[in-house]
Amino acid sequence: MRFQDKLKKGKSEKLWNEYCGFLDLDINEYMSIQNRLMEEQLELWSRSKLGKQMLRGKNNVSIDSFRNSMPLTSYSDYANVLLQKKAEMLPDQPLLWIQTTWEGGKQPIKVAPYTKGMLDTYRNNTMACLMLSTSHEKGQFDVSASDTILYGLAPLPYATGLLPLVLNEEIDIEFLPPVKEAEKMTFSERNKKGFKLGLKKNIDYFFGLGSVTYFVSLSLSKMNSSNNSASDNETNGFFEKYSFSMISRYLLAKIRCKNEKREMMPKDLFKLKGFMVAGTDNDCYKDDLEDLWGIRPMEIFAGTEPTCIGTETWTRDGMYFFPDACFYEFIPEEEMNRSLKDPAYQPKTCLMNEVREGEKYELVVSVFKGGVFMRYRVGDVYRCVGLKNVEDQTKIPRFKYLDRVSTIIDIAGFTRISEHSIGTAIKLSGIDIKEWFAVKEYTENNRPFLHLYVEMSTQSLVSHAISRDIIKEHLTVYFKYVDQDYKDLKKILGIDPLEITILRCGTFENYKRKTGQNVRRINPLAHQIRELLTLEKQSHINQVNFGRV
Amino acid sequence: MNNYVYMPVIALCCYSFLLMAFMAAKKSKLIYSFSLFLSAMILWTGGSLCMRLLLLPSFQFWYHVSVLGLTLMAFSFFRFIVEFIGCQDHFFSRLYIIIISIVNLINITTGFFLAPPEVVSSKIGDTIFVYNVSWPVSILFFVCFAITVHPLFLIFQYGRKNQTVQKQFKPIVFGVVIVVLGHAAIFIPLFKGFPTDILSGVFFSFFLIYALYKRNLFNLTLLISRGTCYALSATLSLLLFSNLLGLFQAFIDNYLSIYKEHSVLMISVLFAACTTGIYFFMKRFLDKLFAKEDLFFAESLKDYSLTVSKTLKIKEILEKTQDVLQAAIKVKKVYICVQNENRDHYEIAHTTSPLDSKNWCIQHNNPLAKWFEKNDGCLFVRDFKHSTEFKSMWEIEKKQLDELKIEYLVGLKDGTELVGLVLLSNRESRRNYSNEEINFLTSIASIASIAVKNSRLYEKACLEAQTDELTGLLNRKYFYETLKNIYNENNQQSVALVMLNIDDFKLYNQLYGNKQGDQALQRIAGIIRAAVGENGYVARYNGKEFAVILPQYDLLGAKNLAENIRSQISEMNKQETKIRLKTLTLSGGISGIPYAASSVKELIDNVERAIYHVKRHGKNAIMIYSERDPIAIKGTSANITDLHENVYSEYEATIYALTAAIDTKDHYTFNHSNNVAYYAVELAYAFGMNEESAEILKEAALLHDIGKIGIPEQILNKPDRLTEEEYEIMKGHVESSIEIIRHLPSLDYVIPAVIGHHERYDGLGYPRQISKEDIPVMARILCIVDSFDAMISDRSYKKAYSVNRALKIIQEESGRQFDPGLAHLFIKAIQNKTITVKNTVENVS
Repeated sequence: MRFQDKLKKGKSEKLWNEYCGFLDLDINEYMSIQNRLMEEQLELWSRSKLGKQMLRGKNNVSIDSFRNSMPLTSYSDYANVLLQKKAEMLPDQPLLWIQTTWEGGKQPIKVAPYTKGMLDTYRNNTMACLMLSTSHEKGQFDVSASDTILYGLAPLPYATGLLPLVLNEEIDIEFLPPVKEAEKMTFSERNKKGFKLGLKKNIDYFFGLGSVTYFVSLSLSKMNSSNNSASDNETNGFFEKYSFSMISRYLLAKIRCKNEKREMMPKDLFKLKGFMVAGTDNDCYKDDLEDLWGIRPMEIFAGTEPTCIGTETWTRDGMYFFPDACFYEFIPEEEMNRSLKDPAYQPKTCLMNEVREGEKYELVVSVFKGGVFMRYRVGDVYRCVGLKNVEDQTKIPRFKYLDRVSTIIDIAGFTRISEHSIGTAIKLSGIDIKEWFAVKEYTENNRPFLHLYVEMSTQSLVSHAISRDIIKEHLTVYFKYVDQDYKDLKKILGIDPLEITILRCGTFENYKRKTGQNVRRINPLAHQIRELLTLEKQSHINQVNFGRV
Repeated sequence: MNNYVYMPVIALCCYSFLLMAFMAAKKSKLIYSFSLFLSAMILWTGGSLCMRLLLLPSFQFWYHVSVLGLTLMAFSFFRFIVEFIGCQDHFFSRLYIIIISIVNLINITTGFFLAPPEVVSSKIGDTIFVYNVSWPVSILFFVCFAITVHPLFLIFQYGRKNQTVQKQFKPIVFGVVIVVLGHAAIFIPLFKGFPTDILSGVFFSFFLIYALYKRNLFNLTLLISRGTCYALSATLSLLLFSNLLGLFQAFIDNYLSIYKEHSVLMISVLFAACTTGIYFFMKRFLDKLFAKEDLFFAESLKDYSLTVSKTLKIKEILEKTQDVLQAAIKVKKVYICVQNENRDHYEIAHTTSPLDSKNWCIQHNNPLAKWFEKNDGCLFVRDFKHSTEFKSMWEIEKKQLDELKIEYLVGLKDGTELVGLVLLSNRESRRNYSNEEINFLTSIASIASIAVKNSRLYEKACLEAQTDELTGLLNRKYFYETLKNIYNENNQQSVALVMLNIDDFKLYNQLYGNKQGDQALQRIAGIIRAAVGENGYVARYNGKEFAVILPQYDLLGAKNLAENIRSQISEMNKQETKIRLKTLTLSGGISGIPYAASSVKELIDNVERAIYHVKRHGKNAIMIYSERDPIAIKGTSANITDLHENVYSEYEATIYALTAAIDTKDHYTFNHSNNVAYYAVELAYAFGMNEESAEILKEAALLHDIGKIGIPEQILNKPDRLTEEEYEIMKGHVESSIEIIRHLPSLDYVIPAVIGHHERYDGLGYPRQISKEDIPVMARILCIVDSFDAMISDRSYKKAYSVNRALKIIQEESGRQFDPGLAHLFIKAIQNKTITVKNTVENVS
């Protein structure tokens, strides 16, 4: 029976228990689900050709022995099998292959198989997200089959394209514009059409990457003003284009804004029931989005490899992981840092019932229901914000998404910049940069950007025209060349996230001489940056003093 | 006007409308019989009405018309049932028509059964008809009753024989019951003054129409023809003007007196305009009422037909088929299965959602498929479950239907061949399929069948013309075509071409057989295809060479991609667990427009030269090439291979060094290898091999037991029979030999002979258990001469056999252990002393 059929029968309480009941679990019950499903998954996985190949003859009967003997994995461990879509080697027959970019363009793509069981779980968990996005308290939700959703994410074969499909399997919720049409449209066309349809039918839900939803929200506001000018100059055209309900909705909003003496915002035109955001850097946009739509976005976590694994609730105070999507392991911060320093080191992990409040963890998942990824480092870092929550009435740990692991700089959920991609861009640009390190920083408006600190080679200073702008322009061009996602960042969101700081020649060498170590290329620790910048200034002062002497 | 006027007028209108509609419908005997029934009702009701209105010529005339109608109604009902159940009954038809004619003639002339009523005026001025009813009236009623009951009896009889059609008769029986009740109600005081008999007649007609409709004998919407609209609008206009003519005339006389002379013209124009207006109004109204669904279906069909006629892509056709079916029939899921290449099953080709399972198919011998092979049209699963064919359904097939909630199936047939099946799941509403929907589905199926067949033929032809059968990549011919097109399309943009040639692939085939070689080609094709994805076109340029066209790629991008492919392929065989396969490497060339070439020809020439260059400089590398300036060479292979003749001399010393090494450990093996080399070369020449091949064979023979270096001496020289474990160790010397030779640069060409010298012609040898011609010919030669030398040698565990005995054994084992042709040749050569038997240290023969 579909969700909407159950809804018609008025079984709200049962629906809540079915989809959101996991919030009532205590940690023992939660772990019992985790362990039982992991046993099933282990059985399936170790029987598969891929499992046998990766286990190298080891027979892991228990979860503990598996965790002890199986090293943590990354995509390259699966690439040979997955990139050629060798379905016969997998634990279960895949129904779909989902695609995403891999390491910022170093490799063309990576693909992940989705089995029927995984898709069923994905569907149920997505429905839970939809319900929770409309709820204001435990057990209460407001979902209807006639609802509409403005959807700002990419279509299949990307993981985000699954959502419309799984949602429509459960409920006839209307996508604005319809998915089939949207697939053929550009990003801007889709927004315009969505806005127009939204005026006609209202928008009940809005879902997208935090950065994209913010950009779309600003576009909608701009469309308001363009409509405003259109109504002044081309009244006839306007009335031909828009129906009575659209015009009346617009006029009422206009009057309200005039009375309150402010610019029109999406919240004046649309009354959202639910607002969901995914991806990184959502914290940078949440407040603004709340201001624009009048409702605080609820964060969910979904990815190509791990599927839909976590959601916030009505309190918007930390995410809970669904117990039936993946088996979760957490690498504590210390272990994570140690493995960053020494890639050969196998960090220890703890389970959901072992996490501590306030600690930072890197997530490791084993995907249930015939999934292929086992002990897989997703590359995301969370902070456990509590083991219980009185407000939510929950007794399981909840987490806050922090960022990608520190070797990767993710800007607005769009691009994953690594040491390799920056190195390639520098090499290709031909700029004689001797040393560099890159840090993800935030502007005064809390917007993320990539801050590249560079030290030029002394010879090039006299033979080449070098300025901050030239370096920025050059590197931007090459970043776009090596990384399609970086190109999209500019193309879709209009963001130019690169900032350059040129450091004094010899700074890196000085730092190494003083500290005995090199600066980490990507996201060095804050104190390292401080120390390096202080050294740079000191050396400047010394030189000045020396000049005086 | 009272009920006796209103009711007949309404009834008359209904009958007239229906009669006109059925006149326009597709004719059949049943429709004719129903039209006769309607005519009888018109006579009965119209006669009664005209009588009550005392219309001309006389009320008596209309009375007799009415009685004629009544009697004809019974007869036409009989005819209707006879046609409905399809029985032949000419006797009763004739009998009843004679009886009716006689009864009416008698009644008209004498008024014997029921004389026309007398007209009297009531006290309040109403006209009352007084009937003088006497006993003969019962004869009249009995005749009508008998003729009406007879068809009921026929229905009863027919229904007993055909239980499934019983429900079709239900509306008819209900209709008869209502008519009887309606006539009986006249005598009930409660209904005094209300013509229940006429009302029941109307109901009866509609029950009969419903029966016809349920039997799918006509399409309700087809009743609404242009003619019906004309007739209805003309009637309405006539009624309107007959009543308003006076008013119009008065209006013109009073207010438009100046146009009085043209009043006839004005009224005529007004009449025509009104008739036209009414016609359009009626048409729209009736279209909305009856033809809305039909119009939708017609539009959908037209749109579908247009769309599928414009494409030959099966994906688009199936997608459109699913869309149109879901929009028109409102089913939750549509699954389209299409016959596979081998025609042994129908595989799922398209589903409503990408999330639907595609891991199932319908076997060719599935009873459902068999049903469609025998029958045309569509099939309800519920009907199929009651059929005999269903009994042969497997449980798994039934479960499949149930899981998918399939309710209805449509066959896509091309002549007698079933090319596909459309499976429709349950509907959004629980509505049954209407006649229109079934017709629509049939039409869609017939269009889809042809479209699917044509597109499959086209796609198959394209596939055969454009792709390589083994790898599924583009073939050489289509590669050229694609490259030219890409070049023309990307006039202002860059195009890169990568060619990847597999190193030493002939050797790989010799080592592992052509089957393994083909599998390797398929795996390599898979890797290249996965790496290139949507960014370019991959072709099999020739046997062991692949080409990748990369539109809008620069040389750096192309080089990165090629390196990526090269590294994946070098890792490819390391994952195999059962057999350790030789690592395959690639030599690749890259060139690009406009960077290093300005035409397609130059592009290909450059890339081929780049490959040649890489091959000459050690293989296993990718090179970007420009005719004037080799841009870069990046390689990882240490092998610098020149021509083979140079290699022989270069490695001769190494080979002797190795054999000398074994001599220190096992003197027998050293001598044995030398003897085998001698016999092998001689047999090779006897077989007709050239000098170069004989030289390779010599090297192989000298090295064939080199792996024995690693076998413990106590096993090598054990005087007793080897234990199973020891024998396994001994067998390992073949792979050990390979391991050693593998590390000798460019000596790997001897591996096929070495690795196969313990294989048996019947496939029972080791290590690969290959048989017959799959064993390289050099290995087959080595096998014979190795065994021969071993047999005639004195060993720690056995005495030497005589040459004759050894030859006899070779003869006996010919076709089992040894290649029969070569064995025969060898025996002959020894016997006629073309090959001299070598005297070894232990040889005692």
